[in-house]
Amino acid sequence: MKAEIITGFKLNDQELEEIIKKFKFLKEFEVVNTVDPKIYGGIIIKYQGKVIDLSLSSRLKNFKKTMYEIN
Amino acid sequence: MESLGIDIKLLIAQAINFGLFFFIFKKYIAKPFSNFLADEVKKEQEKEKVLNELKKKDEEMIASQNKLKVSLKKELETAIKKSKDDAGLYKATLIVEAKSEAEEIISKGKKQIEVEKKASEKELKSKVIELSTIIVEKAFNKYLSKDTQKDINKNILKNFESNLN
Repeated sequence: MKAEIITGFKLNDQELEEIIKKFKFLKEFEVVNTVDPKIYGGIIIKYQGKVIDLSLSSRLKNFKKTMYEIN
Repeated sequence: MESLGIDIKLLIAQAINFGLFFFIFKKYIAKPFSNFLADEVKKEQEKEKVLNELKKKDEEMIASQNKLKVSLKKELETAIKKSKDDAGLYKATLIVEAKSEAEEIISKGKKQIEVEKKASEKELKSKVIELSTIIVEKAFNKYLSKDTQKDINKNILKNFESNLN
């Protein structure tokens, strides 16, 4: 089973390990790191059709949505 | 008689002559003339009667005309008064309708202004949000170096961990 960690820059092994330590369930997956500069910062974890989005782009998107919702 | 100078024969003849004259005068002159006079008097009376009747009718007609004039005048005055009243009522109705229409137009105008104002505000808000987002994205692109992103990642993971705990 594969899990994808998306970041704005390429992670080194130590950084990858730190993330896997934080998200222990990732130990059960074959983790690959993908780079996407459009997320600006933070990380996105995709596994088994699920997504944990901790990126700045998603926060910006949420901020934008909140702004539209405010009267 | 003869000594008195009166001739009896002549007297008798004159008497007969007078009698004949009287008879003829009465029968052929006096009576027709009298009838003629009577007819004339009767005609005059009838004329007078007709004239009186005509005069009476004329007076009645004048009185009737006067009465009719008064009645017509009264009706005319009533009609004028009614027209004035109707005109006043119509004027008042027109004023009320005009006011109502004016208020409706103003109300519609206000609503239209409100709608346009909201649309403008919405459009402006949208532009502000989109512009802000573009500015933030540009700032991210410009100022988020690899090291900064690393710091951000550390912070995010730290906060995530504290949220889990």
